[in-house]
This record gives sequence, structure tokens and C-alpha cells, in this order.
Amino acid sequence: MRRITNFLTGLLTPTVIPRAGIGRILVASGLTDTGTAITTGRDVTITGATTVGAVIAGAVTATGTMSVTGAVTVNTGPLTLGTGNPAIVPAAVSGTPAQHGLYRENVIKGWVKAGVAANVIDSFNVSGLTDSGTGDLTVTWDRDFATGDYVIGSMLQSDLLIITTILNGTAPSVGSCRIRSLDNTGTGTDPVFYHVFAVGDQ
Amino acid sequence: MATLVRVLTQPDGSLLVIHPAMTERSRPPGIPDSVWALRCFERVLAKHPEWQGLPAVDVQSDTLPATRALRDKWRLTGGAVRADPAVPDRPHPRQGLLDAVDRANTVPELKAVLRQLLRGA
Repeated sequence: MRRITNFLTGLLTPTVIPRAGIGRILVASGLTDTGTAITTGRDVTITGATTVGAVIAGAVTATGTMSVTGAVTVNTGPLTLGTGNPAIVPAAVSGTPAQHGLYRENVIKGWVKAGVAANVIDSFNVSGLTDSGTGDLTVTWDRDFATGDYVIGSMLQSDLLIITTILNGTAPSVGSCRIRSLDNTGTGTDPVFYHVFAVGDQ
Repeated sequence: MATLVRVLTQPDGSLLVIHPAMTERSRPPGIPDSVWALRCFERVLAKHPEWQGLPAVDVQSDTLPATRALRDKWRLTGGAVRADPAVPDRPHPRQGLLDAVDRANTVPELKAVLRQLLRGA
């Protein structure tokens, strides 16, 4: 019989849970077996999942911390985070990134679509936009970047041939960047919309 | 939908207009628009020390001029933002070339301006 070893935080010795079949796990304490789901308000730690082999066909709900040392595979159904503003925080990359891997370096850290008047159409991690004049937009990030050396992508939505620049005179700071929209003479020109995103360390 | 915006007057009289990020994902639930807008202004100003201390007034965005044709001539008048046609135009980025064209009286002088233009001066 395969066994699942479950370490509950606060216990000195691991709780050994005999597995009674796919979708059904008998537990001693700390977990509630509902037949198809595991629910616990306590922290759950599963170690050695790759060698012991933990297979759960039902749902797992952990109100506390859930830590898995081995691999986790979700075969069906979405992996859904609940309410309460939880976040997936990936690890920092070291060396060549894994194929299709999610790292903290390749997460978009902020983005905004702005109207011609610097009004916020939609955004993420933006405190506000400042209209400094024709074709002149300053984006202020809510959560700062670690340094000013992050990467900014900017595009203008317009039927006219206009260009966008990241103003160098006011170099991007950890908390903001300034975008210009210019015609071919270098004169400030309003686009219909600004699109801006940024990636980098925070 | 109109939102509260903060208008800052720079030393040369030109205006900065700060628009808060009012999107639902930007703020915790249950905070009124007016309260959230003020928090956004504070966060923006905290990261722009060069704007701190500038004269400021909060107005509804729908009271701003309807057209941006004279955006660089917006001025604060009696607590409201108005376009002032008397404000001089900003200098053209290629004003030097334009002046050179005006000064040119001969074909060689015009050719010199044209060379400058083609070289991307």
C-alpha cells in the first residue's frame, strides 16, 4: 500500500496517513476527509512527494501554508487562487531558464492603457498618470522597481505616423517613467491611447 | 466618467494634471472614489519630489477644457483650468532651421539649409 506522509506544523513526529484509494484519504487529525476533498485550517507539508507518491483525486483546500518539496502536477481542472489577494511568487532564475518556466524576472510588473488626457483606461501596479503637456505622459508605479534599470515597452495607438520615446532627460526612476509622443519634427503630439508596460526586478 | 484630478502649477505657469488609477484592481474594495483618488495623488507626489510644494487644486476631470488643441496653453484661472491663447507657442524643435529658411535670400543659402535638413540637423 502506498503511503502518504503528512507533516503537520507543530507536531514533533510526522503523521502517517494510509491511503485507501483514489479520491479517498483516511486521516487521523488535522485533516477532514470528506471523501473527495481535503480541508484543513492548519499548515500542511508534504515531503518526498516524488518518491512516496501523493495522488489526490479530489480537491485540496489549505487555509494555512501548504509546502510541497516534490513535484506537483494538476491533471484536470484549473489551479485557482481564492480571494484575499493571494499571489504566486516564482523563484528567481539562475542560469539558463527552464523552457516555458515562470520566473520572477519574466513577470510583467506593471502596465497601463491611457487615454489622450492621461486618463487611466486600465492598469496594473500604477498609482497615477500625469499629463505634463501635449504628448507627454508620466507613469508612476505603485510598487517600485529595485533599480532604474528596468525595461519599459511603450506603444502609441494612433492613425498618424508618430513615434514614442522614453525620455532620457528625466531618466526612469524606480517609481516612475516619462513617455513622449512626437511627430517627425520632434514636436509633441497626442496619440489616441498610450500603451506602456515594464519588466524588471522589484 | 469624471474623476477627481489634481492640477499642479509649475513655476512657468504651465500645468501638470495628475489622474488617479481608479480601476477596481488597483484598490482594495470598499474605498470611496474620492478617498482613493487622494491616496493616489499622495503616492504620485511621494515619488516626485520636484512636484512637491507646487500650488495644487483638485478639480473634476470633466471641468478640464474639452479640447487639447491648446493643451500647452492651459493655465489656472480662478480655480479653473482654461486655455489662454495669449500664452506664446512653445518653440519649435527645429526653430533654428525655420529661422535659417527665413534668413536665406539666395539659392546657395537655401541649399545650405536643405543640406542641414537632409543630414538630420
